Amino acid sequence: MPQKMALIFDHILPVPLAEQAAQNSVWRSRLEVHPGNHFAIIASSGRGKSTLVNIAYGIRHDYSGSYKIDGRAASGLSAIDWSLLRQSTFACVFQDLKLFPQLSALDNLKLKCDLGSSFSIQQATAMAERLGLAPYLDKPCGQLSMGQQQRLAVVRALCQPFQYLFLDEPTSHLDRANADLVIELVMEQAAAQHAAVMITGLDQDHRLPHSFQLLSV
Amino acid sequence: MKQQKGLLHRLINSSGSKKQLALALCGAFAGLFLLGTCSQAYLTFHKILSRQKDLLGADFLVINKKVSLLNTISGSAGRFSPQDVAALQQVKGVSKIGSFRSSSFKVRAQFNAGMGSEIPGLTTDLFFESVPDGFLELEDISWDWQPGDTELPMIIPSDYLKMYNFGFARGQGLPIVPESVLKNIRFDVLITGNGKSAYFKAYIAGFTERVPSVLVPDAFLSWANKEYGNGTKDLPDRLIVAAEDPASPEISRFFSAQTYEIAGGDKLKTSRLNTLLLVVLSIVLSLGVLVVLLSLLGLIQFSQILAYRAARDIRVLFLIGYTPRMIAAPIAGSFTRLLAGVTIISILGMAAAQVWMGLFLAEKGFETSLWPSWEAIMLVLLVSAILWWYTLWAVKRSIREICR
Repeated sequence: MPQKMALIFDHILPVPLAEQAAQNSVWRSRLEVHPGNHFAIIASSGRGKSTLVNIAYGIRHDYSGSYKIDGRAASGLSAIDWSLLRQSTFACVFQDLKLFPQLSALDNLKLKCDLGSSFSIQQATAMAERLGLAPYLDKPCGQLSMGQQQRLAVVRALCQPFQYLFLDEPTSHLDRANADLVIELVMEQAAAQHAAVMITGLDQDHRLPHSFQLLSV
Repeated sequence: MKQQKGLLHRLINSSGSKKQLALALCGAFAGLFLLGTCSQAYLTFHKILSRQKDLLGADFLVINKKVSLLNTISGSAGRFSPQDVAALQQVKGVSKIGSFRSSSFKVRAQFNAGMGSEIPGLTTDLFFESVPDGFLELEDISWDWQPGDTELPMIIPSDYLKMYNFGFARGQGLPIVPESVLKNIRFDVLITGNGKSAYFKAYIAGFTERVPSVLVPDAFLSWANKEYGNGTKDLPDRLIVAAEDPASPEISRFFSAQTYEIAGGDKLKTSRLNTLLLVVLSIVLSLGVLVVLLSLLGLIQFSQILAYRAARDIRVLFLIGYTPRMIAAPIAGSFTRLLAGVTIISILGMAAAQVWMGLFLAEKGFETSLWPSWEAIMLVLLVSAILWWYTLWAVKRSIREICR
């Protein structure tokens, strides 16, 4: 198990939001995230929810201020450093899912399980079954509905060890029942790994547990 | 892990155009095969031609005036005057002219075969000539002579040996003598003049096909003419001419206008043909290099298109935790296997070509190896390694750029 680390966002301000960021938002303050913390970013479109997740996960680097991972400036990390972080410390459900439509749902999970030895494909399949995906695992991912693909993306993100789990609108295509299943599985896995969870959404979601602290963007 | 490689392979390699890869690999085969076969042919012909190399360099000509009734009567007897030499010096392409020095004393050679030898003993009158040392290519021959030395190296026309072996020996029922045996024989040479005489142990240091004379070191002849000669300084009747292109039209025209004769002129043509052959092989070799370069461009373009088409998948793999090296691995694996196959087929093709060439040359009386030359194989392996390294470098660079 890797050593627990902290993420520190210190007045990070994405270039496109430089003029519209509010004074009391996360962009104008210092935020420390430790394993076990739960944060929810609820805001309307265009406020930078996904931008924050993308900066945290190392997809975007166009910001001022400082973002440190375990004391190291994120801007100085190499491609290999980011790969290693994503193998063992960071997990993410992307807003646009980033699945491989030409592969079957099962192969999408295998690609992730094969990356390390922590999760077997049986464990991944069990999680997929809990989210009602069992009948669709052999189908090409591109033929699944958006809701099914979103649940698959959640399972893929959970098939690895992590200390930080980033979820960018993970229930946007789900009905209430499936959304509940997803949140339940996410919280269960995060608790098992004592991981921090950072989730974004369009509206205040009453399904989230009370442990979540709201962040303003 | 094997499964992971299989999935990655399906994801990444399915994006490339198989037709383009096949074309690039065909180009690599053509280039490697041409390069290997031509370098092999070049080495083979070079070896054959080196064995036939004359002690007189290819850029030198030996000329004399045509002996006619007129110059016999006039007494000039075909000698070159200083004016003749000056006119020759003006001809375009002529860089250096040397005079033949002739012996002006009596020379008698004697060979005693000894008891039981099948080679007959002989005694004959001889003459010596010399040319300035710079006109001879004497890589393996000791040609230095100083007053006091009793050994005397000689270079004789190889036609003399042929005349003995295929004329005299056959007719008299005597054994034929190879060059190597003749080089080990010592002759007694007696020179006389000015009321003095001296003995030398002479030996044949080499053979020439282009100088119809018995050559001795210039230092010896200069010394012997002074000691035993009649003291007259005759004009030379033969010249040795250095030219950039001995068969150039300007030189040929001048020689025929002056009625000069070129010794071994037909061999000069052969020498030019040999040079031409090596030039043609060099051109084909360059063509091989060009085809290899084109195939390299094809492979790099293939790798770039592959990376471009698979850019989205490569990016997603990177975002879910794959390192650029892991993403490149399936491309590197497939490419390495394919290029190794192409290289092996090229080397086998080269070997087949060498067998064909060896048998063909053997029919023409040239002895060559039927095995491919290790130098050519090393060249093919080296070029293949460069192709492999550079293509994989291009693939990895494209993937790194996508993952940035």
